[in-house]
Amino acid sequence: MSIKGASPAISDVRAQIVALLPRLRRFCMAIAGGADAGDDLAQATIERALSRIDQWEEGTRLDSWMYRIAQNIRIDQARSAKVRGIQVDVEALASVQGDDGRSILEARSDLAAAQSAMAALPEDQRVLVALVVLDGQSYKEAAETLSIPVGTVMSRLARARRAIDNHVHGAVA
Amino acid sequence: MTGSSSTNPDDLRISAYLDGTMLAGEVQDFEFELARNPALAEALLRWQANDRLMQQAFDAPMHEAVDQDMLVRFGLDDAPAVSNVVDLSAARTKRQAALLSRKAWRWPAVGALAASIAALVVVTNPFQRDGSFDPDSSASFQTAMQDLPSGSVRRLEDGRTIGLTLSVSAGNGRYCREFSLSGATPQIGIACRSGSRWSVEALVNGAADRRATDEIQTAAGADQAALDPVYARLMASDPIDAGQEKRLISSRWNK
Repeated sequence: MSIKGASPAISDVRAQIVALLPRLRRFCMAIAGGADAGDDLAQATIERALSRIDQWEEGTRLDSWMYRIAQNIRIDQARSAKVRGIQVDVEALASVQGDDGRSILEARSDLAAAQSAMAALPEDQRVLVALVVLDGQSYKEAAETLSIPVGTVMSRLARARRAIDNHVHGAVA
Repeated sequence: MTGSSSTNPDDLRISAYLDGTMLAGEVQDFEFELARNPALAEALLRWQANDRLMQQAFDAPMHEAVDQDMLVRFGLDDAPAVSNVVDLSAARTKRQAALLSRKAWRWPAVGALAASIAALVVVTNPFQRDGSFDPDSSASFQTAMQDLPSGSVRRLEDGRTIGLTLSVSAGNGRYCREFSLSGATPQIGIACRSGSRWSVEALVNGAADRRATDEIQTAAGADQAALDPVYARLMASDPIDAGQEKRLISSRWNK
């Protein structure tokens, strides 16, 4: 990665990472498959980012840079562990508001199905769902974050959504 | 796996529609087809619901306070903590000042619309569900809220048009937008962004709709003052200026 301009002050970057932390944790949770695994990934991402902060070009998007680091760590982890899938931590799901125990259980079941659907996606599709559907990035931003063409973003997302639909509802169409 | 040759064209279109990346002409063509292809429309609604489910499933980190313990956990303990405590008194004072100057920043077009409305504010459930149209699950409503600058108009699936009036920032950091809906019963309302979705917080119905709801209602004047209690509840900022709104639209309403 090319370095332009002066290295940003570490305290400024730390403050920006703190502001980014909720989104980074969500992104990591989504690509790692659970809250605990996600936080482990977020922690490793922050550690690596701070140790290589001179590689970040001030004025560019810190979130995209850190998402890229998280994705690289995740890919390294998956390769080294030869992981073919990821575990879904149903108990770690967010607390769900409901009128009674049944609605809470049903909602938990739906959310577990969503997490399971995400976990079943290939890595390259999962990261795009995390960037676009969860983080609200545009196709162009997601393409820049992952260094892939916008057309690839579009096709991977469409395939991911089809797979999620099949997973949650069965093969409807 | 980098091309789109193996991807179903309808899947590509549904996905692009959900993400608001179609051009205006494409949106019009797609919505025309949706009205005539129930299977396509059903798939769109299902995928939209899947997106919402996905957002809920991974939403927990967005609601956890970034406190000192968390900073220590992530090795950021020498960075300043981000307080998620809102100074309500300060926010209310600011909001009151904004309310006093409210008439000065109203869009002229909205004033004209307001004159035609004998308004009712639905206090309890902000959206009147009559089975014909649900903004919360309408892709074209979501796209309009996400992409249109204030002052713009777009047609919705049910044939009505939506006009964007203004954008504000709520006291809890969410962005909210005021809109108007055309039709036999014109409506104005406010929707706020949660995650990547826009949810209707309030609708002001025309007099013709009095029969249609049995919810608690408050008679209001024939202008946007009917929305003032909602703005007060949201602790809304002054309207965001056009330049900042444009930047927010470009960044998909991310700060």
